[in-house]
Amino acid sequence: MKRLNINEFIWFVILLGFTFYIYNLLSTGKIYFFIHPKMSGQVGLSLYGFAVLTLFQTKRIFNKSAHTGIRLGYIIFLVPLVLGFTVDPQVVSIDVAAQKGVIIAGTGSFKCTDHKHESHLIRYYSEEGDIVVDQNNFVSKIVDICSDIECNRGKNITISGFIYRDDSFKENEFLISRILVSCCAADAQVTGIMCRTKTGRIPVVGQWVRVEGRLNSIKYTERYSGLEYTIPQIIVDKIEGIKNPENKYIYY
Amino acid sequence: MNLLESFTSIFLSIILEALPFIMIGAFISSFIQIFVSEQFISRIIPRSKFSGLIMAALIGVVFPVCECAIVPIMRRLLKKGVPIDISVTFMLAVPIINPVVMASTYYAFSDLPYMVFLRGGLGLVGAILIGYTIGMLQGNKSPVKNESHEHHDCGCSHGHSHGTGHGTLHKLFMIIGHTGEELYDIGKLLIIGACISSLMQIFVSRDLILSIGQGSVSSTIVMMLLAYILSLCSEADAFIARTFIGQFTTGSIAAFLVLGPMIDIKNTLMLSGGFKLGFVIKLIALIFSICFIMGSVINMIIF
Repeated sequence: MKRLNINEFIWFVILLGFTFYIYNLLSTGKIYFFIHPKMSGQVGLSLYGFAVLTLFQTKRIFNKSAHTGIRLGYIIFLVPLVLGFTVDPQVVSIDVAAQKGVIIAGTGSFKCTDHKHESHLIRYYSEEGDIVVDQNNFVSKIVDICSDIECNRGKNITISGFIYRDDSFKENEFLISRILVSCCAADAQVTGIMCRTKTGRIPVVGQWVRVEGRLNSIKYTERYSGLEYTIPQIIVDKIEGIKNPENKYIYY
Repeated sequence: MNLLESFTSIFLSIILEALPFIMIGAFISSFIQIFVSEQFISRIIPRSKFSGLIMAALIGVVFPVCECAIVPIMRRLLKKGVPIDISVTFMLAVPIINPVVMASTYYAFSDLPYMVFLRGGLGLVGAILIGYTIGMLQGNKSPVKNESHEHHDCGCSHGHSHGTGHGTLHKLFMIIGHTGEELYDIGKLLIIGACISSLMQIFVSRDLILSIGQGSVSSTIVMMLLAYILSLCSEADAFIARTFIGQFTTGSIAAFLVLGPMIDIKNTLMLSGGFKLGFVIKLIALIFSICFIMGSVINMIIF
């Protein structure tokens, strides 16, 4: 009768746990709460890796033990496993994402350009008129709007997202924003477009809304750098509350 | 409760993102351990120190590995007899001079394409300078920890002498066995690093960073510390760096982009698993000093 090698057995359980956890994330699509879809191939690779290692580990469960006592390093591996199985995966909260950065359309790498583009895409919008921003084209529409801000001025726009504002905003200003993930949840940032209401009544931060309005452009001075930008602004005609979307992230 | 959920998201996302690369690193390291001989390595390393360092710095162009995977590989190369200055230059340069990282930097700074050249150029120069200096400081002393017996017992009854002739299948088993052990060694440190980094991300506010980071010297220091603390993958850090354009000087953003892939919390922990503490401290101090100098020079040239 072979004796169970407790250390090898714990390592087997950990490997099995990771295999199962990653399989579960990939098969339910919950993996997108953590990483950009473009990275899911790599995560699939680690699933195969864990599966092979787990299979291989079964051979060792009954090996003779050279160690006395349990290796403490295993506890470390249990922490992410326990958290992964017990805490329901949620997106990073708005506060935490905002700490990593709030990108206002028209500033930084979304800087607006004034020169007239000959791009096919822009032409298309100029003819089409109304701009409708949805879940899948949030970033690309914002890039388009910024790429020819003068040409887009006065157009009707419909956009949904959550309300974001901080104390640097004027009373009747807010951002319609989404949480943008470029690689994994550790780089999640708030990205949004500036809005202005006429009435001054604004829903609370974090509330999901659909906004209809007209595009305008204004001068905006960044708080710390003092740099001045021309940014797009939506003059809001109508705000209505909507249900929280399934996946609060957008990916770029 | 909200904080626990945010912590879990960031913590697990760093781990999930890094695990595949750690696994690849562990696998390549095990492959080198079993298939590449010391003689082969000493044959391919150029005689001249200078060309050796240049070669080590440029391998990344054809070897797209990011900073999580590079630590086990570098440790294995060092044990196989690659000189310390060349190993360190290799470890620091590969995660920067890497087609995937260069491409993501280009996307992130699409309006400032010169950032790509700045990052690549400074990464190359920095890695060579740091590798050369640490080689001089370290001399002939081995930086690797003395291992009594670092691994648990291998199941394939080969002990730790891989000399005797075996079939391909047996070699494959040996690689898998080694990969598992490397995963244990590196993985536990990755998890601790991810934990510290996620805590920092939740509790250190951006306004604090921005308010102390004004001025040319302090902005460089703050950005370097930020790169160290955030422990982002070098494929993603450019997207965070771009949000600081305009708020911090160009030199400090360059320092962020160069220092992040070279060293951060999780890499420090992974290094400390295999290297002597004194060596790790010396290396980190050198990386910070060289990156600071390079950042300051850029600040003087372009604002």
